[in-house]
Amino acid sequence: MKFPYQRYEVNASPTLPGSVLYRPEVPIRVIGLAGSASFLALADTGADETLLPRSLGEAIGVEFDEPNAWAVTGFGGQELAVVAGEVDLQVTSRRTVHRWRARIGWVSFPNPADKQPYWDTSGSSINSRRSQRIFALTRIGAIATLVIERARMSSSAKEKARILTSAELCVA
Amino acid sequence: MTRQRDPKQPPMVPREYAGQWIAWDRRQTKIVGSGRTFAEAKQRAEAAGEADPVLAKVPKATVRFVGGRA
Repeated sequence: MKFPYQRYEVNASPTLPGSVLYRPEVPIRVIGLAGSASFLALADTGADETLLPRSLGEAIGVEFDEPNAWAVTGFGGQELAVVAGEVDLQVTSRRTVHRWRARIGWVSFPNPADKQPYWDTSGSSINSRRSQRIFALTRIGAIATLVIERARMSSSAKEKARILTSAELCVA
Repeated sequence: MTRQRDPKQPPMVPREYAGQWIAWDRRQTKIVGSGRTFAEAKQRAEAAGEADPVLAKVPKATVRFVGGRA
């Protein structure tokens, strides 16, 4: 399964002189007891948890495990409350569909506009090669591999453009 | 593993949506709604006739995300 990077136009910065951000975001369908929704989830190899906004869980009928709340934190140290809850997650690429049951964290955000879905890929092994990094996703029911391809200096312009704009999810 | 063709590249998200939620049509060919929250974006997409939108949070234009632990 292959997914393109998502591209966002932003202001340039000293370390990112171009005005385009490329993010490895994968469309995921989240299926609860009372409904479902589709999101672009950031494939985050450094995350300890798979996280979704709690308000989404409420909208699709997730049963939260309230007594077992914990906290998560990111860069800067702000802690956010999390509870667990089960949903079905589904990834589709062309005619291939993978669906699995997952127990994930549901985050309460102080600012509703800051909600961002994160897909934890931390159970991954990283295999650096000359032209690509391979992340083995171990939490999607089947063993999968996310390949984020990087441009090679020797590639043709067409090939470089193809590599820069594609992420590959390979299910073994 | 069977080699597949590259998927079609969705259009770049313009800066005017920075910091907002957006709703793509099912095939991610165009943005059909936006809002401050995903609920707003979803409602506007549905009002525009897209029953099953793909929602996304657009990065702020002046802030970079790095993740990581404190």
